[in-house]
Amino acid sequence: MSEEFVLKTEDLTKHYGGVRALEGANFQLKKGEHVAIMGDNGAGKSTFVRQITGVEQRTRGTVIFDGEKVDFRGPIEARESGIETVFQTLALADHLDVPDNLFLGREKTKWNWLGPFRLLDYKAMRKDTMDALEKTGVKIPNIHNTIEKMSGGQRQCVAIARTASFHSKLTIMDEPTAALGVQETEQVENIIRQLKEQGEPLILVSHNMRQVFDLVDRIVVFRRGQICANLDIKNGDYTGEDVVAYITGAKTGAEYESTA
Amino acid sequence: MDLPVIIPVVIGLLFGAFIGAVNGTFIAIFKIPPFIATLGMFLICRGIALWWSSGNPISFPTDQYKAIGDGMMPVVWFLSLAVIFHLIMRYTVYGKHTYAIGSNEEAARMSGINVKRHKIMVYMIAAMLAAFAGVVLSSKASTAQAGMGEFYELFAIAMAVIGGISLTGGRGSIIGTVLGAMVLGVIRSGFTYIKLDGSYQLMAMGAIIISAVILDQYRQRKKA
Repeated sequence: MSEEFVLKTEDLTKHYGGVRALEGANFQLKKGEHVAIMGDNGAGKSTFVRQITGVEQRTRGTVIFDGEKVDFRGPIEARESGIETVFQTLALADHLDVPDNLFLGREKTKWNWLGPFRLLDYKAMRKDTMDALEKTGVKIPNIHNTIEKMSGGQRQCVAIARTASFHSKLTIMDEPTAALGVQETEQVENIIRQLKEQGEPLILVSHNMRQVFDLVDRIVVFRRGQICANLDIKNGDYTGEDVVAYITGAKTGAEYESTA
Repeated sequence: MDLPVIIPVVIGLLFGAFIGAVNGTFIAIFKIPPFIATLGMFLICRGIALWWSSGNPISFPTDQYKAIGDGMMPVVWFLSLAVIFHLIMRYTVYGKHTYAIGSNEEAARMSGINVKRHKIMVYMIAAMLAAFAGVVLSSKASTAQAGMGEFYELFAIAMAVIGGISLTGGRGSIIGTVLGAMVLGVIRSGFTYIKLDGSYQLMAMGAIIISAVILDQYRQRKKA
């Protein structure tokens, strides 16, 4: 059974001192499924993501990823096992250009016998960058501009193109379009649609109701550190108003009565 | 008995690498601010030199050793190392990761770069180059004493900053640093040429270093 699930958490809990930021989260993500996590500020969305990606160590609970129980000591381990995350604070090096950032930490190289002094294959990285940007529909006038010269939206697109261009087992985006303009938001959403077509699962943390209904299969609502609803939106059973009701606490999912 | 010249030189370089490894470890693992860690190590090494030599000059009378820093040789070493490190910084993974860590250490770590190991390597290479500078200097002077190379650490900072290296990291180049070194060299030669008193020279150098840093911060602010 566990084969069907890319990610499964059982009783995932995080306390900061006395603050129960996340309490007993049971979450499942099927292969190829796109799920949105919604909830008010402080509802536990980001805390949940930080436990899965190993940025923080959980208080208790189990995380099963790709059929195995995992215990990531840090975000690098999570990434190495195939969880790609676009964090709210972008992990880009401002003084480097687009290919440098796309390939940071996994550069294409030649003359590998030189060890740490092996040569960078700029040509191959440039070509792959152009392909990746074209595929994702991201428009960046000059990829050899450094990141610091780019707009917030372009930076976000680079960060996301970076995530999307490395086929990962699970992609997590934490409010990827929060600071973007209309066109840039559209580019990001196109990347997400593309992941869907490629059958790559996604967890999307978002406040944007329209976006969530446009893009994902299912919405999981967090409230005061607990999951309070699990809504399959593919069949049009729920409206934005329903979701708002769950977020604000006016409604609670049948199976989550105890959290009300 | 005189050993072949390569042996003392290699021992000197290895000691440099060891000092660099200690610096790198303090900085990367114990998170001591780099300026403090290297300043502390600088004093320790000056102390060791003073203690080892009992404050007396040590002379190196062998011709082989003198040849290292003879005549134009320091210029040859300078230019060849500059070329080698230009290529390393520009075209290798080591160079790219060095810039990446300087630019955004967190991003570098998240990208899977082993930041600690890389920093230790950077400090080892830097200290080895400093050790080599010491070899060339003592060879050129055919003597070594504990007080040699006074203020060179500050001149090095000044050259780097004049050459466009950002003190906050991520920006700079070997070509810029070479130009910075030349500018500073010309200024210092000029001071000597016009027979400027040593005390004034110090004051002027201090002013140059501070101006260079102000310029660097101004550049940063303009970018932001």
